[in-house]
Amino acid sequence: MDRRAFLTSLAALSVLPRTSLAQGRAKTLRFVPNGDLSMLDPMMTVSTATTAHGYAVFDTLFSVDSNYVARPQMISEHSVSADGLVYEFQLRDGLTFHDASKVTAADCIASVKRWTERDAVGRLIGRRASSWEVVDDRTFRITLAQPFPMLVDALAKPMSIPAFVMPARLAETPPTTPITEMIGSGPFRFKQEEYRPGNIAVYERFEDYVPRSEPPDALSGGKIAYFDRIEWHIIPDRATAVSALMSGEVDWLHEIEPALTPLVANNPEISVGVRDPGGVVNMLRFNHLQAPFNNPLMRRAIMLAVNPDDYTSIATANDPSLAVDCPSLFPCTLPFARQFADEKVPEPNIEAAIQLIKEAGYSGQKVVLLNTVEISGAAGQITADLFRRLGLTVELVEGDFAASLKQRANRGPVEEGGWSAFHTRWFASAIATPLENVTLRGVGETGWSGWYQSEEMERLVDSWVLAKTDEERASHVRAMHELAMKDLPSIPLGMQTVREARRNTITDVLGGTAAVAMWGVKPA
Amino acid sequence: MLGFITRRLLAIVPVFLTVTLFVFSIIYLGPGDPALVIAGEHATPDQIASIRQALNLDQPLHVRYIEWLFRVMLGDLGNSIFTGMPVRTMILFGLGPTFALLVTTLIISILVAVPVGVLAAWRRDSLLDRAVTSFTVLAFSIPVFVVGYSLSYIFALKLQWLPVQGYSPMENGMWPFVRSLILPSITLSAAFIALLAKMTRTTMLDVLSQDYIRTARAKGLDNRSILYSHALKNASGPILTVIGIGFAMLLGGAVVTESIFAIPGLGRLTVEAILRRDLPVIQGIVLFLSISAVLINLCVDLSYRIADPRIRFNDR
Repeated sequence: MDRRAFLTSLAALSVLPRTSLAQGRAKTLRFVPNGDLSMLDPMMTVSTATTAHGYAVFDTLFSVDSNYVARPQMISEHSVSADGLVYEFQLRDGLTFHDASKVTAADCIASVKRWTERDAVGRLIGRRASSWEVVDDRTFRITLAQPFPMLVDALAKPMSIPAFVMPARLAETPPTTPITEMIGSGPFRFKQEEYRPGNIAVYERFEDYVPRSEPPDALSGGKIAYFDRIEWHIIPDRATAVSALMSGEVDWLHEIEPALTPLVANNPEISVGVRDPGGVVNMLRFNHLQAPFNNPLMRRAIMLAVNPDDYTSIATANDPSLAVDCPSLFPCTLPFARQFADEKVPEPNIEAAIQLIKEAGYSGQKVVLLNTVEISGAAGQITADLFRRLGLTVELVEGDFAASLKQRANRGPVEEGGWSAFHTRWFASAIATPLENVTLRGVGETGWSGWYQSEEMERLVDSWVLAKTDEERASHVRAMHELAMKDLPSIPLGMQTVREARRNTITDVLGGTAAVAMWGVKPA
Repeated sequence: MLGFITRRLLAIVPVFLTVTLFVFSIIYLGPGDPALVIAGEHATPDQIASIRQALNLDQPLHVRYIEWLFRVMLGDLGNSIFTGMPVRTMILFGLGPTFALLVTTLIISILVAVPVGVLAAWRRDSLLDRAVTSFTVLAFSIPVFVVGYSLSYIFALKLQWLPVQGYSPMENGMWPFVRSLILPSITLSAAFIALLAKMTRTTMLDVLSQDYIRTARAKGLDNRSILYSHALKNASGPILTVIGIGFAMLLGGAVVTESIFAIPGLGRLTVEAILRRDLPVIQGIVLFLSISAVLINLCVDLSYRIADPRIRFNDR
């Protein structure tokens, strides 16, 4: 063989695998989640990657549409007694698990019970439930000791943690033990034998899935799987993920960093857009059990001094089209909280803040500020600098999530390893209602780190739950917002929306919430 | 020889005990609590305590260590706290890509560095020698991720000759397997080539100044024979040592390359397990790496014997 023939055959060899692979991939969607899929049990973690995995494999009794209205999903009909204490649910026909067993009422009860032990909102239902009955194979009843009008909305919550339905034998696993067998009744079957933690997760269309007849709308409606196979490629390096999208090795990135967006902005083969209009809320959370921020004057002083633009500019890489002004702990991008979007964000006033700190009697106590870099980036540096300018003695502790979580669980003073404040962010979908919004709930030491206690706030939340009209609910939300801006359980530091990027070989990606839907998306 | 090998294998035991006890203590005493990571922020203290009990984290450190040692001796490395997979399985999944990456890196490095180092020593102070010296300085100075990103940008993104990321196992075809390793291996080998070339040059310079080389020249042997049959064989000891040390270092240090090119190897597995505080996985990997380091050093020592027949291992 001469040299020319050899080089020609070598070139042919390099093309052939790509061609045959491309044909094989015509029915395969290659998706890059925004984090590792290390925990498969969607009831054990609030991670968005695991939640998206949960929605692919499992189904829910109810789910929200793009207006965050709860719609039936697995349920065909449901009723509530006149006194609001007895809920009866009937399952749709033809629902099957991936192991070919039928979905029954017993499976639903076991799953919801497990969810009530894992989820903060679920616990409210669990405490109120006086009985759980299987009426027949497709019908079950939940009887409450006290009314809870938001029960259906709670069962529809989209994130942190949704009420996924699984076979009773899996749901009966203790709530502190992750399930490892991924058998659900969702539109995709998990291919356990191809799963490689930190590398790849594979799903195949579940042929026996019976979708609803309504068109899809966010997480509700018909879940039609247009791809035979979905591959999740775990690519930890974000620049590599963008390069892989540009070279056609993957089809869809769940998130693209603002700083990397210019690389693909003018690429005719790639579309960049906002899939979740809800966005992300940045905030600073205080420790209400320890000095100095157990003093409301100190918290108000910080509120006077912060400039939310500083935080959104680093989160958006100075892209103003992503930033959202929102002087509220309710996400202003969601329907019920849009009333706060037009409120004026006060200008920072350092002198007034310093004066208020003096009035508060601050005497130089050490302030320990926690920052998880992978979540909040350089926010900790900005706040530490601000605290120093206000005359506070600051220790900035930056670490990974696990270290931060451990220190956040410490309720003691800073001298005993405790903390004073930490930075975090929440997807709007995860704090979509006052019930789920742990950032302002006042349940004290049984609540979220920070342990803000307010009977008035809890009374307002209960009133909101029991309200009968939208106007009543709106007025309770306004009252909660005003109380939160006075008490400052956390300080809102602005919002931003998050972009996704995908090749134009796919289309009809469903948006509406932070949870990613693998159904609905189809080849272009 | 057999006695030598036996003694070296038995040395695995104290190395293993020292390293694992040290890492065990660091992990358990360090910040982060896997029970909290699993339980989540909204868990009740009872739930956290229950998880801690299920994971045996409520036991004293020495009790946990002894229980773990006992299970290891029975071949049980435990299961990942998060994925539920056996740790042994996870290590095996990661071993293939890392081993493939290291072997190709080693092959590229030796094939490039040794001849270049030999020639640089032979042509001391020539243009080639100066080029080699400049390259070694450059290769040491440029961070691995810069090399990786640059190669990926040119050859994967712009020219589209090679994949941007991912690893294709051999069972999917030889050519996809090789393609997926080219850029990561070159990235990882850059600094190693610099080190090996420099060491080869230095050792060869020393050997080339010896009397027996002058004798070989006087006998009229050609340059090739002098360089490779006489000089290189005598210089092989330190070169093999650097290769052995480098291999052991690469085993643990490939994490940056594996992250850039999304190769699901042991390096990435280690980092992800540490970030999650997946204690059984961390312990299993440390066990594996410490045994590997001892075995690699044993292989290097045995290779001295092959390279230099004068070396005898004292069997007494």
